[in-house]
Amino acid sequence: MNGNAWTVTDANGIAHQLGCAVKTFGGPEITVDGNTYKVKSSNFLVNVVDYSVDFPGVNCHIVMVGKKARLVVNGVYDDDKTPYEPVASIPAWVWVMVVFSIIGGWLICGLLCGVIGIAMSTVYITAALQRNTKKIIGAFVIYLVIFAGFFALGFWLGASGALG
Amino acid sequence: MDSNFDNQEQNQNWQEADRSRSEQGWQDPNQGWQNQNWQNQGANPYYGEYNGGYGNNGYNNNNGQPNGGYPNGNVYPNGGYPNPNMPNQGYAPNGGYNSYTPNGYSGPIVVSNAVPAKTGGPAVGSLVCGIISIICFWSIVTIIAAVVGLVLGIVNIAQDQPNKGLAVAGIVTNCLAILLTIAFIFFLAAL
Repeated sequence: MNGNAWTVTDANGIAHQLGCAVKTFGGPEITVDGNTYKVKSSNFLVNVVDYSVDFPGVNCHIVMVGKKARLVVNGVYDDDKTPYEPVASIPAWVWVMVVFSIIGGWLICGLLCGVIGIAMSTVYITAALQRNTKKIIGAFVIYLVIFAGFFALGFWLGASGALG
Repeated sequence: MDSNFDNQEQNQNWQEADRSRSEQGWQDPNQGWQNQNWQNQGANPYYGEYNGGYGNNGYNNNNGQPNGGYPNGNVYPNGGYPNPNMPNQGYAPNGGYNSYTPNGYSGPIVVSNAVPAKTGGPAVGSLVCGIISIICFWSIVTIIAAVVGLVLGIVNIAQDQPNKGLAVAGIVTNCLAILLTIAFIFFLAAL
């Protein structure tokens, strides 16, 4: 189980404990002042969580991509102070890339390519949350090269009869 | 994409859980020493709804004794009023009966999903099926994927979900994949 924990002070000066974790067989969870809330990923292939936690005078978001979680306080990421971009604003074509990389990679080039697709999908989503289109395209091109390599390898092995 | 998740229901559950937690907050060990030690003692004027507090001038209605508003008749230090030397006695800093909750919060904590339930998942699925079907057009099995993609694209448009452009692209690519596969079958038959 991986976990992240933060302390947020609301407008009344009261400190709140926030935390999130991804359980191996239980999915993602958010903890607010000791109360655990089971949350659901917005994507069935990759763990993508964007939950809002409203304290008096303070709006927080817990954004989780894969197993990496970040806290947003009043529209700014707590770690690097960059502006918050909601998961809902990720363009649909990024999701097409995600589904293609995982399902397409798995069906066409095998399980290993699908696993690589999962890893690359977290890169697409993270880059999309940073509004970094070049990074998304770059990561997808790298994935396509890997995909083509696996595809060519499978084709060559099939054609040469090496697989029987 | 998961479009079945019911945000409203989830929010209601959490709000109810939060409300319940607030009601039970008197026994919550996380709330600090003040609620454990001063529980039901009337030491806090904001507990007025429980013990009369300021509202009955510190007299208990049951026995009429000036006990500082303690319903059990016991006399507690400080006359039933908050001790200024004891920090954070569990009431909101801005005071007032209405703003107090047992947890010390001045308002409810709301946890909600920031991702809308309808995200146009079928359109994404349709386009992916179309792309996969085109890449693997020589395989007859991909006709199944193309048909599934076609259905997903039509469903997306019929249900008026977002990403109509993707749905149209999915329908086009799936139709193209079906045509390519049929052409390939005829090509193989002609050889």
